[in-house]
This record gives sequence, C-alpha cells and structure tokens, in this order.
Amino acid sequence: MNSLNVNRDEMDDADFRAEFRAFLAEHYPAELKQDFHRPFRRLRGEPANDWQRTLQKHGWRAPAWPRESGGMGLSFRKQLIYHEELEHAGVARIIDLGETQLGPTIIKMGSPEQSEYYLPRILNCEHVWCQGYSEPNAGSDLASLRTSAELDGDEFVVNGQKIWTTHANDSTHIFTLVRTGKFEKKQQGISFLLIDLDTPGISIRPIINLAGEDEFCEVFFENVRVPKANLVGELHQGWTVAKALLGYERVWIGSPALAGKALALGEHLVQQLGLEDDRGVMDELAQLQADLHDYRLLYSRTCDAIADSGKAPGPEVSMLKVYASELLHRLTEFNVEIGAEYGAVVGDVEIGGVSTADMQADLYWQLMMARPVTIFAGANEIQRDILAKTVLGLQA
Amino acid sequence: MQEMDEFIAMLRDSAEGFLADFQASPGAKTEIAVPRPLNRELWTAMAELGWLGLLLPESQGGLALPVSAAAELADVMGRYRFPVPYIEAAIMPAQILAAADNEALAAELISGETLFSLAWQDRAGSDAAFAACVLSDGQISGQKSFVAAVEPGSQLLVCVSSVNGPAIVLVNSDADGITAQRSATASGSFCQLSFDKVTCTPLLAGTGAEQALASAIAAGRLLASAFLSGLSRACLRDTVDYLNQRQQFGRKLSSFQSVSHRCVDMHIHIELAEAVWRVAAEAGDEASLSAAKARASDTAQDVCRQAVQLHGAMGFTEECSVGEYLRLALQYGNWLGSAKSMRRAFQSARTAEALA
Ligand SMILES: Cc1cc2nc3c(=O)[nH]c(=O)nc-3n(C[C@H](O)[C@H](O)[C@H](O)COP(=O)(O)OP(=O)(O)OC[C@H]3O[C@@H](n4cnc5c(N)ncnc54)[C@H](O)[C@@H]3O)c2cc1C
Repeated sequence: MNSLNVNRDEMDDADFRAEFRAFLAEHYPAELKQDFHRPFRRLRGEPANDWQRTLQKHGWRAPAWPRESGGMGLSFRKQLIYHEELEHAGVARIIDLGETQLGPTIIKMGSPEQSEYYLPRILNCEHVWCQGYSEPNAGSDLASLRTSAELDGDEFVVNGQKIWTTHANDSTHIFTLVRTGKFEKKQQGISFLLIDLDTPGISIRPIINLAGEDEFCEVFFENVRVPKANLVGELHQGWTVAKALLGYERVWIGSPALAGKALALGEHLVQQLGLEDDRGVMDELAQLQADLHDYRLLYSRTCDAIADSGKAPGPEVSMLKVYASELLHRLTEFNVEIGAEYGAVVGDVEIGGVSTADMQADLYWQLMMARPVTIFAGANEIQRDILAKTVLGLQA
Repeated sequence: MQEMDEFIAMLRDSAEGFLADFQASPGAKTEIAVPRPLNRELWTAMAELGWLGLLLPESQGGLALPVSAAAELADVMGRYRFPVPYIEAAIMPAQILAAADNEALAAELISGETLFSLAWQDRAGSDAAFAACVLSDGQISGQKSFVAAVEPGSQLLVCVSSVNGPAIVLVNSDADGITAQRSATASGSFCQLSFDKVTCTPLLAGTGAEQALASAIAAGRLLASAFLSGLSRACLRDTVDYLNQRQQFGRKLSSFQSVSHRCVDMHIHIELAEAVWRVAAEAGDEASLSAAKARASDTAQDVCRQAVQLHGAMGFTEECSVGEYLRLALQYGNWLGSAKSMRRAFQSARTAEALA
C-alpha cells in the first residue's frame, strides 16, 4: 500500500491527469526542470532521492508496482498518462533502476523475504540500485558474460568485472548477471544476483563520457562474498529473470518525450536565429515535426494495444526504440546544423536573439546525450535483427 | 611542377612525424567544454617548421607556397586530429598581412612571437563582416562573433566599416574598451568581442580590405575542407581497426554486413570529399570551393557520428579517439560555412558561371 493509501487507479483518466499535473506544478522544483540548456536533464544523487521521497510522501511513487507492494498499482494506460505529465511538466528524468527494473523483477520472481526487505528500501531511497549486466567482452552479446559466482557454503564468491554501469558511483547496490555454471548454451548457467556495493572486494571507477560527465562506471569484483539468499529466481535461470522485463524497458525507451524536448529546442532556435523565412530550414523542420507527430500516434497505438491485451509487450516494441532514438538523432543534428557557428561550440554559449532575448544553449551536450540512446538497452542493429527475425520472419 | 610535388611530399612527411609525436604526447588530450589557451611552445615549434609563414611572400620572410600546399598540410593535420587553431591563427591572418604588405607584422606572425586573430564575422550563419563594427576618429566600436584563438596580448585584425567604406584595422586584445565572452571549441575557443571606442591602427581599406578578407575566408575554407577530409579518413581507419579486432557472438564485428556496408558508404563519401578539395585547391573557383566545404562538412560529421555508434559504449567515452574527431568535425564543419550554406553558395556560383 502506498503511504497515502489512495487508489488513484480508480480515478477517471481526466481527473487523474489533472491531479498529477497540479501536484507537479506545486511540488517539482523549478530550477530542476528541463530547459533549452539541458533539454534531457537527468537527476542523480541527492536531488534525485529528494524528489523520489516527495513523490513517495504524496502517493505518486512507483506507478507500475502493485499497491500491495507499496506502488500505485496503475493500469498501463494510466502509467502512460503519468509519463506524459512528467514530460509536460519538464520533470528531469531519473534512472531509478530499483523502481523500474529490480522492483518488478523481485515482485515477479523474488522470494517473499526479498520483497519484504528490498521493496520498501527502494521506495524510500535507502537503497539505490544500478544494473550490472555488461562486461568488456559482453556487450551486444550479453550471454557471453564471464563474471563468475561460485558457491562456497552459504555464500557466492564473485570475481570479475562489469562495465558501463550507469550511476554505480551514486548507488548503494547493484543487481548483476553472473556466471554460475557452464552449459551447452551460453544463456544457461547465468544467475541473477543482488550485491551490496559496500561489500569488501568491490571497487568502482567512473568513466567520463562524451559530454564530459561521469555517468557510467567500471565495477570490479575480487572475491566478493554474497549471501546465497541474494539470488533472485532459480540458480542458472538468470537469463529468463532478466529478460522478463525487457519489453517494458523498450516501451519506455521508445517514449517520444526526449524527441519532444529536442524538437522544442529546434523550434525555439529557428525563431531565435530568425530562420522562419528560410525555406530549406522550414522544410526540414516540417519533416521533423511531422515525423514526431506521426510517431506519437504510433506510440499511443502500440501502447493502447498493449494496455488492451493486458499482456507484456512483444518483440514488436523494438520498433519503438529504433524509430524514437533515430528521430532523436536527427533532431539533435538539425539543431546543430541550423545553429551554424554555435554548433561548433563545445559547451555553453549565449545565442543572440534576432527579436527575442539571448538564450543560453549547449548544442554539443544535446547532440552527445542523444548518441547512446541508439547504443544502450540493445543497440539498434540488434533491435533490427530482432524485428527481422520475429516480426518479419526473415530467416537467418 | 615536379619540384612542387617533391616539396609537398617532404612537407607531408615531416608533418606526419611531428604530428604523430604530438599526438602521443600528454598535451594532445583535450578537455571537454573547457576553453583552452594555445600551447605557445607547440606554436613556436610549428613556426620553426615554417608552417606559420607558408603562404606569406618571400619579400615578407614567408615560403610563398601556393594555398594548395597549405591544404596538403591541413589534410595531414586532420589525420592526426590536431587540436590547434592553425587555420584560425596562422593561415587566415597571414592572408590579411600579405595584402597589407606589412613586413614587421608578418615577421611577428612567422616567428610565432605574436598571435594574430582575424575578427571578421558580424553574426552567425553569414559572411557579413563590415557592418557590426564602426571606425570613427581612429576608434572602433561594435561587436565581432566567433573570433578564434584570442589570447592575452594577441593582435586582432578587425573588419570594420568607416565613412570611406570597409577597412581592416589592428588592435591589441588587451586594449581598453574590449570585452570578451569566451566559449570552448575543439581547437581552443571562440570569443564574442565587444569594442567600445578602442583606438586602432589602420591596415587596409576599401576593396583592398574586402579582397584580403575574401582570400582569407577562401583559404580558410579550403584548409578546413582538407582538414575534415583527412580527419574523416583517420576516423574511419580507427573504426575499421576497432571493428576488425572487436568480437561479439563469436565473430568480428567487421563480419556483420550491416556494419561493413556502412563503412563502405563512409569511404565513398570520403573519396568524394578528397576529390573535391583537391580540385578546389588547384582551381580556386567559388563553385568548387563551396562544394568542397559542403561535402567535407557533411562527411566528417556523419563519419564521426557513425563511428560513435560502431564503437558501441566505448565510442561514448571521453577516452576514445572518436570524440576528439567528432569535436573537430563539429568545429570545422559548422564554422566558415555549414554544409547547407556552402551548398547554397555552390548553387549561386554555378548559376553565375552559367550566366557569364
Ligand atoms: C550511456 C550508456 C549507459 C549504459 N548503462 C549500462 C548499465 O547501466 N548497465 C549495463 O549493464 N550496461 C550499460 N550499458 C551498456 C550497453 O548495454 C552496451 O553498450 C550495449 O549492450 C552494446 O554493447 P557494446 O557497447 O559492448 O557494443 P558492441 O556490442 O561491441 O557493439 C559495437 C557496435 O557493433 C554493433 N553490433 C554488435 N553486434 C552486431 C551484430 N550482430 N550485427 C550488427 N551490428 C552489431 C553494435 O550495434 C554497435 O553499433 C550502457 C551503455 C551506454 C552507452
């Protein structure tokens, strides 16, 4: 039950939307909003936790979790409204993998003890989780991962290395895929293991990204002893555990929200630079506007179908991730190109207005932060392989 | 002719050695989003190689080489992702000093002792240069945008308008009445400069000033095109090396057709870019020069962005060379004419040629 014990899922859609909109207007700090300078702003660390606790206090946390687990128990349709309103209000994104990935996994596949212990701590941000799947030699080919966990009495002993772990340096815990056995198929013998980052033998090294930020990390494990009780699901069945939520992940990554922010920046730039009479620029802008408009319709249609079916999303949702991320690329590239010399700047620059006030922008940042969306959560090449095989029936 | 070819081969060779050494040195690493001062020791070494005075006439102590030779050098610089404002602080100012026939200033530029910046651009996305700053009573007032490599003690060559038409004047960047707003670029920084009644020394006036600026911009565009072409080639080469070595699914990434075909497409664009800048370097006409800059700007940005993707998460790290290529591609691809504006310039030049 969430802290207020209200059931917002029973509300009428329009009322629900209005109430959440009003809540965000009242409570979300204006200085943390996404803006033209940071159109894809993300929160991490304390500001992120503070905001999550505010949501929690008012019963707006964990929209997808069942009410008995402390979430809002929203239908998929209401979750969509929830996300639309976050976008509308310019609320910065938070990568809360405890809420979006681990919680639902534990609810579905974990033990009652795990639910009881971990779920409340995720909700109150006492535990902040990161995802330790990728390794230096296991990226697209995740199943070839080698970080090992060997049983020794009541404990696993973990050795190996994870990489590209987003926000490991801001997290308290990591959920991992580790190799517990060798079988014929490499997807077998992988287990899903929860690890406290304070455990001796773990070291974390941040990696600076193309935007100059330390968002992802390397995580090293040297004889790290992890209680056997931290295994989620059956031994050797981690691949199935991890895959159970992939469809939802692709739906959320396919959200048109980021593209919407990039387009708003582009539209503002066109005015700022006085390009409204430039036919070539306006044609390109029209293309992008139409593409985003059409994509929003496809996105709703796909999401409605998922909501109506009551089933988990199928492989067809890979198309959402592919289109949305590549549209985001094109939008951010358009913004750089029409920015002309401003597009040559790496970092902050004041863009003089033709008829408006100057604006602070960072066209480099938005271009860079759009890059990895086609890489993470299954690179687009891999998504196309999935679509070719499962949706079109193209044979390998 | 043959003598020139041999000379260019030597120039490229010595540049390769120098730039490879520099690239391996700690100073080659550039920080993201931080304006960077010019490395004066490196600049002096470039002066000793004769690079700063490459295009200046012998009478002024230069090497009097054709601009095509400088473009060869820029191509090599691109291949080593050289993050130094050579075009901005050597090539473009030298065209102005050559026209001004000022031996003393030329000597300072050639020796690397004094830094020069050409403050020409009135506003973004335009070649307009003589309206935003006004000269009256020996003082200038107004604005200049995207002025590269302005350092303490730099000499600024400022394009201004006066009652007698356009002019280019000299002011010291430390002079009273100048304020600068600085932002970071791959090769160092851009400044937005404001001048408030700054006392100046006249250098060029009238059509002489206009022609000097036109030749500085043309040389800048040509070298930027060659630089971007060389840079694209190196970025693709690094990417091919990575794909040949990185394995996933028990195979080299290079063996996946969707990967290898993209590399081939990039290669075709790079060949186009090189073909065009080489012709522009010899012909020097407006149409081929604009075409060269348009092609190179598009190609370099596209190649570098794709290189990020093909490197996977590695391509999104600051550590990986791809980011350095990409930032330089953004700089020289969007400064001195974006692809779109250069295609338009190409179209106008073609139309004008057809009418002539
Ligand atoms: C910003 C960011 C955050 C991340 N956060 C996390 C995290 O929190 N936790 C985590 O575990 N991981 C994380 N990752 C890692 C991410 O999941 C991997 O980057 C992704 O799986 C790709 O693996 P790779 O980077 O090793 O690229 P590779 O697999 O080496 O691929 C390189 C390139 O080759 C292409 N390629 C690979 N195989 C094929 C094929 N069969 N056919 C055609 N092309 C192919 C890829 O599409 C890509 O373009 C993050 C990555 C990024 C960029």
